[in-house]
Amino acid sequence: MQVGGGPGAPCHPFPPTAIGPTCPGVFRMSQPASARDRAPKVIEVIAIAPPPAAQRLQRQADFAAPGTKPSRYTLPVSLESASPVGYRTRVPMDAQEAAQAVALLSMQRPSAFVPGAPLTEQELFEECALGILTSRQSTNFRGHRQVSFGPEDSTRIGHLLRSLQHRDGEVLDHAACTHVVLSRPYRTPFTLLLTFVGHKPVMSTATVAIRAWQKRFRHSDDIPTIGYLQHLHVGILADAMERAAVLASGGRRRAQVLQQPFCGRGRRDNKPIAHALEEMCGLTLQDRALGWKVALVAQVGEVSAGERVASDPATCRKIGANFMAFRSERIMPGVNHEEKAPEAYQHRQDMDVPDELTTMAGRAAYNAFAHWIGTGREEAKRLLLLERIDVLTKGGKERLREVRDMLGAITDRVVAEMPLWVDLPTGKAFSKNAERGRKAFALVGQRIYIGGLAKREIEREGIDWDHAVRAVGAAASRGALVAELMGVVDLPPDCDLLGGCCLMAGPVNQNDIGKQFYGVADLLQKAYPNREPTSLLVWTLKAKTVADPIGNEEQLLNPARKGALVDLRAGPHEVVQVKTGRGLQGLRKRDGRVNGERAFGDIGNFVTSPQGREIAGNRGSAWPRAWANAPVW
Amino acid sequence: MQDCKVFDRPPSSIPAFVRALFGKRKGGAIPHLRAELALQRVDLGALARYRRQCGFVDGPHLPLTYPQVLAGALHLHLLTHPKFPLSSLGLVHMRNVIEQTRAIDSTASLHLAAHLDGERQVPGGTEIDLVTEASVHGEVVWRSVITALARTGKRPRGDKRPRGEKKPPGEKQAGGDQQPRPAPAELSLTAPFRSLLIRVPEDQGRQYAAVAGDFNPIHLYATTAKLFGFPRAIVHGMWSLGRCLGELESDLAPGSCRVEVAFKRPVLLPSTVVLRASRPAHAAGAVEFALTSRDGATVHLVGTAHTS
Repeated sequence: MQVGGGPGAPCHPFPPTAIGPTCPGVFRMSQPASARDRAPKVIEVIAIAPPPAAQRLQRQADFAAPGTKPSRYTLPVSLESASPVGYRTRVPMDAQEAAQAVALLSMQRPSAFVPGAPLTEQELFEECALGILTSRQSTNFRGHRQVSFGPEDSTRIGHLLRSLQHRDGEVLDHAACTHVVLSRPYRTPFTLLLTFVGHKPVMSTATVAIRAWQKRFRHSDDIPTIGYLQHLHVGILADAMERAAVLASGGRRRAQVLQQPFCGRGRRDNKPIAHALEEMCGLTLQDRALGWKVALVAQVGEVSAGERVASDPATCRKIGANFMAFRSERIMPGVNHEEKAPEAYQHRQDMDVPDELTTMAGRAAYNAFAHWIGTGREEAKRLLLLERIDVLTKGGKERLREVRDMLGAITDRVVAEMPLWVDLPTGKAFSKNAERGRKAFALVGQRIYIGGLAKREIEREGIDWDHAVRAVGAAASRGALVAELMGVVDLPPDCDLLGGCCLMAGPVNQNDIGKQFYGVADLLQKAYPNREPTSLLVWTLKAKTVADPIGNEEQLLNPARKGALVDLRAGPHEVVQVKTGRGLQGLRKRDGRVNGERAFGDIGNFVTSPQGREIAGNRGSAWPRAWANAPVW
Repeated sequence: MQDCKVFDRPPSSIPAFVRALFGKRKGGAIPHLRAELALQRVDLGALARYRRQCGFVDGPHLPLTYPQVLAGALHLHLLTHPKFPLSSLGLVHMRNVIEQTRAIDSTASLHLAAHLDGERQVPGGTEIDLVTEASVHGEVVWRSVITALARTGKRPRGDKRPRGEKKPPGEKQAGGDQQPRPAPAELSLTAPFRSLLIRVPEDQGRQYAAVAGDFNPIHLYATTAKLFGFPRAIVHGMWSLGRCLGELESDLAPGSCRVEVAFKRPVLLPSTVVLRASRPAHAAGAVEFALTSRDGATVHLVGTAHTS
């Protein structure tokens, strides 16, 4: 699963076949949800059948031979990283273990915390590893930060939270810790490129400047879907934090995540409390100028036996190691058609994503949407718009071609209309970048879904738009996790995986350029002609046994790096601060050391060459046990 | 007859450096020299700086390598002693064995004793052993054997093998070995449980010298190292070992421990090196480790730590 914003970045998880009844034009006012309707539906384990042994393929990536040029198909010589991820492989799980994993995808909010053992540093690290440090794949943007507070501060924060309006959950006593997550608007080289898109030839010299100023100082977005990315990512993180608390504690702890009071209307009505929290987090004026704001608050605490998610600790570690692996590799849909790709990538595999799997992925997605919006499942199904473009069914290929052509035409116009006064002096860097986007926006795969919302309907229901967008992100990530988890059930030793999911915002952003500047219709317009849809994400499900190349092509091909790869994913000290008696301290930054530990590394799922040679630095080192086993507060 | 000097505080390094730089060496057999130091208490500030340099965690006990650092002044005294026949500036730290019977409390009074022992003619020069013992309340709790090579460029008599030709496997080391030499660990790099990139900055030698008191010019600046034939400054072998053990501290059971290490190639500054560690199947509780270049082609150090 991948998520991001621009070319080569965006993707999120989700899927379903239970694509709501595509009955255009008919909008029903919501009915109060019954208790049964509010309860999440159980996710069942649907294993993907591996192909016959002769058709199974593996990545088999090796180090570049001496004198040969490294490529995206070769392993990096070394990895220097403080991130908990590293280069990981998927860990096979049996159906029983998978059942414990999918139980994490239909949790309800905890009703109370009970006093419990203090949180150890190791537990906090692993919780952050599963949460803020890996909730999104894109490596070129760090839009989240977290400040974690201990029990005493949690009590203070609890008082503040009780004063919030539009709370989407109860504030609980006895929190072992409280995480305050800050986020900022999505800005990458892709959003820089957008500054130059959609201007008239002569006017561009003035309108580009105005838009650049508004973007920098007022945090305006060139196209609305770029603004939505921030909320999609926060939604994904919120969902991940719930699972992280469970896995890091072996099932003893749960998280109560509050996010509605900190977005859209909630933010406006809760400004003083949000400011108080931001002050506790040490937010500076400079941070505020960059758009950093509190995005959510998660209380974490021990729960009574009745509310624990049944997970045995060994399975928790295996699931955790798999979650690291899911964020380590890229899973691109379809066959890799590059001629230079090794043999394994050139073969089409006759594998199908089972229909039942897409149903379960959809069920997980609706569970998540209902959970975060606080509505019933039927209501969630009505509000969440999904179009399925399935190349296995009639008309699917034609529809896919139509979407591809539309996105291609938008790219053509972007390139053709790029202001020459900025493009020529930069060696056509901008138009070349736009060209490169074609590959990132390419839609291939067996089952492709476009997801979105109808803004007017959401507002009519009294749901805050930003909050709904976050719920879409959460729904997407949960649905995708189903596909990713099923991709490791009974995984044969000669396969990297059996299935995966790629979640992208890139095609949506590209379509949005067309919508805003060239009069193109929304991607979902055809499926929902009378509902004024806004597409938000595209995700593709794929059954396959060979994982895609790891590593960042640019870095591997950069001669200055000599085949080494610097991990752009954040280390804990870079995005997590812990409030202790000594003030705010970076997590795992102490006495001149920073983290070198890979989370759940005890499972040993590290990428090696076919001969078993390791990537230098990939396994990392252990954080000193004396520090790791000590209580944080 | 043994020449023994007892200090009640660490001897100053300055006269020793002067002797090292300007003293004349007459050659001959290694004399029986011994030096002792009664250390009432360890400077906790210096210990904290050492820990930080090598990545050891604060704790109630001394890092395994620290008594050797404390004995550094005694070593310098012995190696620059007027009767010592070899130039201390040319000595190369080849191997080290450190044994500890129990963890040493960082507030304990230590009695350190160092003496020269063993002399072997080996290809490329003369090897000597520098033995150090640390006692607490009269009980020897820590012992180290440093094997150093004084390069003479001469091969021992009878070794007529052309330069570059490899020795047949199993052939014994030429020269008069009096004791079995510690065998460097053969590290299996295919199944490490740790693999970490370590950046060694250009000033690492100076930083370590400031905490360990070893201001050998080969560790300080490229210009001073060039005077001794190195292309750039090299890091102290003891820093490399300390850094490895600091990183593996959590993987080794505290208390009784034996570490054997062989220094293969110097780490030029600045560098990026890789620490790998694995658990050999044939020795329970042992950890094998190696410090190599990033591509693994150059091995700087290999070692084994046994804990019980």
